[in-house]
Amino acid sequence: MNARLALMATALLLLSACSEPSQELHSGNVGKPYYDGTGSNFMAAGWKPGDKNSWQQEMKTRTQRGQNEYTRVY
Amino acid sequence: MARMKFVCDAERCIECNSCVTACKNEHEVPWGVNRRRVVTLNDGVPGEKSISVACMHCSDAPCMAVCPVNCFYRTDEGVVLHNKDTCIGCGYCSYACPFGAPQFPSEGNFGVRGKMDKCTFCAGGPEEHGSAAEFEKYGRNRLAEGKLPACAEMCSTKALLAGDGDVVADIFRTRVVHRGKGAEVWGWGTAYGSQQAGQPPAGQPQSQPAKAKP
Repeated sequence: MNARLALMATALLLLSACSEPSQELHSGNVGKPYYDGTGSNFMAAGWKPGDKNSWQQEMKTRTQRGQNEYTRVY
Repeated sequence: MARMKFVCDAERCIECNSCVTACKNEHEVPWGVNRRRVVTLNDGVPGEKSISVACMHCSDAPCMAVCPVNCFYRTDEGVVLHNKDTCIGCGYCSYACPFGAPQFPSEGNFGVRGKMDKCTFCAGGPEEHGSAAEFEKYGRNRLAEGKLPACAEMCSTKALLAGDGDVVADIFRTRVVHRGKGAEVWGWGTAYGSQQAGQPPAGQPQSQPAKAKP
């Protein structure tokens, strides 16, 4: 009995290095979401930090306002 | 929200390099490292095309696949970022990237290859948003400030578009439909000459004889 237990413990110890490593595709801290803001004075006006929908809407509005002149022409 | 994407309109890019300058200034990128650059095909030949190139934040990023230390990660917005604390500067990502996005600064007296640096879509890195540590390693985090990448916002002709993939695709589609192609494009005659350029509209008296254009 003791010999069997000792054998199992030894096997467990020796095979521990063969365990499956983490398969996650990222490392480190992925961080807080962008819609939380930075809290600095450089934040753009027009959206509410912490509100995901507000941030997404601001991104879309800013893209249209700044990069699509056809909205002004037509 | 769709994935964040860059689109560069080769019909509009005039190779002014303001995107490159904006990027370097915004993130205080060191000498020898260009997160963004303008590539010109058939330079000097009529009909040359320029395009602004940086990390395209691939949906299935090859850099991510080959990195031996898994330093890359993708945010919920589809931005491909990396952790400089994990990066070992091996250069595999540089070989894998079809756009030449990964850059390696030379460090120390012997020009040792430093940790990889690349475009972050102005989205910082794994450090706290807007922190000094983040700025030092990855540059400014404009996305968390509610802004878009500096290169696209500074583009003088709006050739470089950045933002939500669906919105950017809509803008580009509208543009292509309205502007036409070849001689239909506004300014084509002025730039390249045509039989019609400089002529009064049909049916109106001619005040002076029109000069023949080549």
